[in-house]
Amino acid sequence: MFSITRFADTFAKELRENKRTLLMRVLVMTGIMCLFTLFIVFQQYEKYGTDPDRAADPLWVSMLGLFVWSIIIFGAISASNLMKDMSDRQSRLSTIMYPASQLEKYLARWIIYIPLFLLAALAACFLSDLLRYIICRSVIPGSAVALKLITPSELTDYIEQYEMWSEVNVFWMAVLFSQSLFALGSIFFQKHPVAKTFIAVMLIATVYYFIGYGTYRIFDSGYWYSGMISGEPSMGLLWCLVIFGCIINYALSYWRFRESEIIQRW
Amino acid sequence: MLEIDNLTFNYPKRRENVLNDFSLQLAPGGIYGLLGRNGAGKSTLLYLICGLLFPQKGRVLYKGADTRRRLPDTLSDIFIVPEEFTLPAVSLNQYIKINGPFYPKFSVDDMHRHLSTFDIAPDINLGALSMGQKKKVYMSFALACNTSLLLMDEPTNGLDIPGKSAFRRFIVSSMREDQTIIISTHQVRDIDSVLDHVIIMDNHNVLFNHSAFDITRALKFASTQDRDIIQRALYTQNNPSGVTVVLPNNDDEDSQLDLEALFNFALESPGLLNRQFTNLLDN
Repeated sequence: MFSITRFADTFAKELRENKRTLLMRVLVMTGIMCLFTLFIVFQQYEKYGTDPDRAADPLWVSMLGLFVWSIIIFGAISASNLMKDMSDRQSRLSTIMYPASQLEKYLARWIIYIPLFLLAALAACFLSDLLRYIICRSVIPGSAVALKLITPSELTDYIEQYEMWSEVNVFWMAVLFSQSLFALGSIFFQKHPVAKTFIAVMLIATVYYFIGYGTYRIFDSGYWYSGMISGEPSMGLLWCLVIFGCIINYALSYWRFRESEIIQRW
Repeated sequence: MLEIDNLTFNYPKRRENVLNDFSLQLAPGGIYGLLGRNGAGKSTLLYLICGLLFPQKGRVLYKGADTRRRLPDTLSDIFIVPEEFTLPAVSLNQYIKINGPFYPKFSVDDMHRHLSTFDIAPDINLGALSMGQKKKVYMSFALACNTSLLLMDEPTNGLDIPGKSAFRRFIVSSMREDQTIIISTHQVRDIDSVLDHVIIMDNHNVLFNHSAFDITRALKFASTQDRDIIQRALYTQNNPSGVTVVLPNNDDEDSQLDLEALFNFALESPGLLNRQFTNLLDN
């Protein structure tokens, strides 16, 4: 079922045959983030002269917001391309027939479109922040004391200072879970997977919201002993649920990929 | 080597089965021609053989392994050249480096030899080729993989006239004793001189399945205007140049296999045709 040598060949095949498309996507993502960075800089650079809190870079809030939404949105788009090669008959034939196990093929694509994408996204964040730093340094040399590059150590201090660890956890949970959902959508919706998965997720989330709200009302109305449920779920429990959900989504998408034929049966 | 047992298959939203309790056994070695009307299930059968489609009933065993499982060892010994396919936009050398390692018997020397048969330079970019050129490259790669089972669906579609004669030379010169090639086609004139075995499908099943040697031993094919011969013929077909006849080969004469006439004869009078072979086997 699994051979390291064959998996390495499969990974190399997926990377090399798609390198132009992958590179183009990374460049587009970086370009869009840089454009938004320029927009933020030219809209808010005056804050460097007016912000009394010299310890904190005033543009970090907007930049971190840009990074958060970019990683979530581009992560979803990248995950939607996980099964792009199953979108037409000729590509499906080629993907199914080359001599590797379905697990090796799936895992090779998963590595490229999920964790490697995240690394590329983090690199794009760094480059767009570097652009901000270079522009601000040249435009506002006088008040560059507050101007700081977002590095891991500076970011950690910033999070500690403003007690934002729960927000960081929620962000990473959102990234991981949304990627797994869009990866699952990519195997079911061959055409326009991003839009269709988004609509499906919104519909399901709406249904679950009402079910959850209804359940909450039942517990809250005194029919049941409400002391059985604690007020706020712990971060550990939430992480367990998110990881479990991700595993289910990826397992389902792998199973569906494994059972694929050159025709769309369902 | 290849056992097809009681296959039943239908496409979604279609009432009628494409294949119904279809069975076939193929021994290793030889070039098999798979002929049939439009919609007879030729391409479907090829896809079922290599595991691209899953049957509703029955199974396909290749060297004892169920092809539905798509085991890498099985896939590395089967290659299919479909009617339509896609090639990545990389150079041919890169394509060989990327895909060659998946086939243990792949030979770069064979690849270059096949490319020269088709008059294709090895230093080309696959993205810049026409459909006919891509087909030549893909078929060259298919034969260079040296798989024991090679399936080809309408291989001469899209090939120019020199390409078709190169294809015939290419198939015959590259054949190995332990290799089986199954060619599904409507273009019978493109392949009638290379086939070792003819399989004709109709009505979801095998109508005719005999070697080219047995066919030319049992039957004689000729083109004539002689009324006596035409009257004695098992089957006649009018052509611009005369009348093509299929006669019983009672005198053990050699004749060139006329695949088109055989195919039409099989569809028109399958009982008569198969009785002729039963008589041959009895004798």
